[in-house]
Amino acid sequence: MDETTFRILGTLSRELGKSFSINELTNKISTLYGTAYYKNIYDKIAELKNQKIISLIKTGKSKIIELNLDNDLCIYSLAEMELLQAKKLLEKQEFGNLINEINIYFRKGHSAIDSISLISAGKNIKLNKAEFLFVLTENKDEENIMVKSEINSIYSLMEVISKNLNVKTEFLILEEKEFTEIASSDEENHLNSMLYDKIVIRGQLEFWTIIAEILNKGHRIKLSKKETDINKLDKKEILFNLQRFGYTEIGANTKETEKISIENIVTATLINKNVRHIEAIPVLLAKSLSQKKQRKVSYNLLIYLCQKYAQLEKLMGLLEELQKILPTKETEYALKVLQTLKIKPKKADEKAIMEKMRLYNAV
Amino acid sequence: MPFENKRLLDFLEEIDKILSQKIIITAVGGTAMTLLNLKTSTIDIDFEVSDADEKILKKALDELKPGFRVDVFSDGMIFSQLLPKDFRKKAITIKAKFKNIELLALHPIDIVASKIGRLNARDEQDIQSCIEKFKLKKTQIQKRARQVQYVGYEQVYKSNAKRVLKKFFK
Repeated sequence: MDETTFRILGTLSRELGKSFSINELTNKISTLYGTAYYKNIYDKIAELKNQKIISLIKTGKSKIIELNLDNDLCIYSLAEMELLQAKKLLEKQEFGNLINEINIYFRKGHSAIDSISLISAGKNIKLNKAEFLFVLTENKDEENIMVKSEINSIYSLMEVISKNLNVKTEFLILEEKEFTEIASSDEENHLNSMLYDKIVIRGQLEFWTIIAEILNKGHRIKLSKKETDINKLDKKEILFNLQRFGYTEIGANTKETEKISIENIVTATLINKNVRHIEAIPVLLAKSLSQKKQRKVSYNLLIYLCQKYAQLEKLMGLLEELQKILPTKETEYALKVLQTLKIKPKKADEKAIMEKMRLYNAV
Repeated sequence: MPFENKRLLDFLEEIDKILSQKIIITAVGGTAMTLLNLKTSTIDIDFEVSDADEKILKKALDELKPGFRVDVFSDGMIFSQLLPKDFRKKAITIKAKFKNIELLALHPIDIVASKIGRLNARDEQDIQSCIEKFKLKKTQIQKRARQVQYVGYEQVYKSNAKRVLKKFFK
């Protein structure tokens, strides 16, 4: 793959669902890669259009570029671009060992893993961190045994890799259905900032096939360049979204703000230490699991965020109470994961939680 | 987990990006020695900042959550030694392209002074390195050591200082 094609596809892959004029695209490439020449990009776009990898749509006087994700050649080209990105990373000493470890431990016997991506590689390596996204295959088996077993395996192996390389690892594991639902959500969520700056190091074709399926169904993927900082969520945003998920305080004057995912809101609530709001978390989770209109809470994403922001002990305490009052398979699974991580729960106020759940009709 | 010069500066670059105001960071201990090329790498990251800047730096570290430990000392209280008030004036400026961080490295005379209290085998090696590469004189170390306030049994500091002078200046 030539460098110009690589840069065009690399840029478009970060701006999924958005359309650009050639001029806008040239500027974006220049920002990302340092240099960009309009003529080279113009000529290459014409070539890619002929190959049906991209579409050029006339709007007024300009032509707008879009990825042609219903064409297999486009998907394969994006996969090739990802492979090339991974190769460039391997050439850098600081990443070689990391990718090597991933390949050693995940090369065989992990058929439930669709893809593995490295997130914000450049920034994280400076902080002696490595952040990963694992997307697992959709398992039609109701008990989800294969996927659950794979998740346990990933937790164990990542601990080994962390110790081997003396590097802090953070990893989000999502089943394909969860990944699809969260990625196509119109809520601000952590996944969409991860996807902006990612390099797929295993399963490039599988990754882009899933993305193509999401977009070809008419959903939008709203990637975000700015990493979601849950510490900086505004009080108004938290209140509005708590209300959205089923918890309102009498007298609270909530104005509409941006929609934020339930996982971000729960994590922010735990960080803020507002006792009333924390006791309401089981209400939010119970309602989320039982309703059908909105996306259900992803415990995988919630556990990942609470681990990142050091709130796992509090989360576990709340989930234990929730499971006593309203047992579900999902909460049981989350508690098993937390037990695998050897988390010691911080005991929550059982009576206060029960009262709140009754008050808010969550029971 | 060893940190060489480039890794230290890369790490500081990430801190610099998220700071909303300027702060002065003085590298101390092995971190200072690495930045001054007195050793190739350090296993600990140790910084000193003013009382006012401590909150800002700690907030940045809390946000970044690096995968290694960073010890932050404040107002000249380094390990168990309170350095003389002019330590920042004596500190060496490290040239780096930061917007918000003014980076200093503790002067080797103060690196020596801050290691006398503990004086384990690694400290002795570091002291030797400082003396040799910066051609520190016996009288300089004697004078500086007298200006340090030691939080602990002062006699230990005095006795260690004597040991250092005897060992490295014959």
